[in-house]
Amino acid sequence: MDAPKCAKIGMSLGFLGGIATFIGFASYGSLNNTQTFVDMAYVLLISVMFFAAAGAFRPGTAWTAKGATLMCYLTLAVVVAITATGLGDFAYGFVEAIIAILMVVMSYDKDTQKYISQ
Amino acid sequence: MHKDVKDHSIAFGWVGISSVAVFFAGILACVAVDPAWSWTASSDADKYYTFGCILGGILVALYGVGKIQYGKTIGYCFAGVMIVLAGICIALQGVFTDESVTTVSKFLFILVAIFSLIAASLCTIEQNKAGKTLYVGAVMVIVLTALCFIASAGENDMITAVTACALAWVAIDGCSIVLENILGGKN
Repeated sequence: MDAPKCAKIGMSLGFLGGIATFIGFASYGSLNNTQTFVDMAYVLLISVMFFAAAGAFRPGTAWTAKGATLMCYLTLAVVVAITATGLGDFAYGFVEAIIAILMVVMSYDKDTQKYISQ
Repeated sequence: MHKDVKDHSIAFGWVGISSVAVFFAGILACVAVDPAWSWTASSDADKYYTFGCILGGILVALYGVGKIQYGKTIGYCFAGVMIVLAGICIALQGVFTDESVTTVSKFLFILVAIFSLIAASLCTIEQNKAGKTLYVGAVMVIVLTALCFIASAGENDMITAVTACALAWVAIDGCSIVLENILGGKN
């Protein structure tokens, strides 16, 4: 089975979210010059979550279709939690939350769920 | 008979949603009357807060009773008991608004957070078994946000945020019951 459009978009969004987090991290740090090890850990956590969620949109992995959806929700939860508590930059957090919501929507596509479960 | 059960459960769903609306209406009324209002300090606006807490708490407890009565599994019934206890704590919160009893208020807030977390966990397990990922995802966002506030915010901010998260969960659970009745058990 060829990869459905939604699976491709979901995976692309995952990589985009991971890379955008890194770019945001670099610019945020250079603007404020106040980053600590803990700040770095939060940003890296978001980045890792995005890359892991992107990997869930492939067949033949450890993820089930439901697991992939929950992984996307977990990514969204981490982004919202870190942004809401002021541990991360609000503007980047907002963009990342939108990317994560789009990934959740893509994971609900029937063809994508069949593709992931192969 | 089955139709009657469904009709009553949707009513309890609306009670859950309205309880949160009443609580936040009380807070908004306080801020409207006194912009510098804080729940830790005495103010003329405290009567609105008392009203919101007592009425909101009673409605939350009533919602919990509905959860017990119409709970299909032991998990839902136990979650209902926890919601009733959380509702009682919210109502008592409205009674203890004097500045000299803030320790009692804080203790009640912590109890609300603990009871709600247990209830949310139980309901999420049951909903996950039923394959309702939307509910599970929404609870995931709320619980992680609450945990982040516990880990990072100051005491007063943390208590306020965690209580808001607990009430947000009650609203989502109420919406879930209403939607389940309207859509007939779909996600």
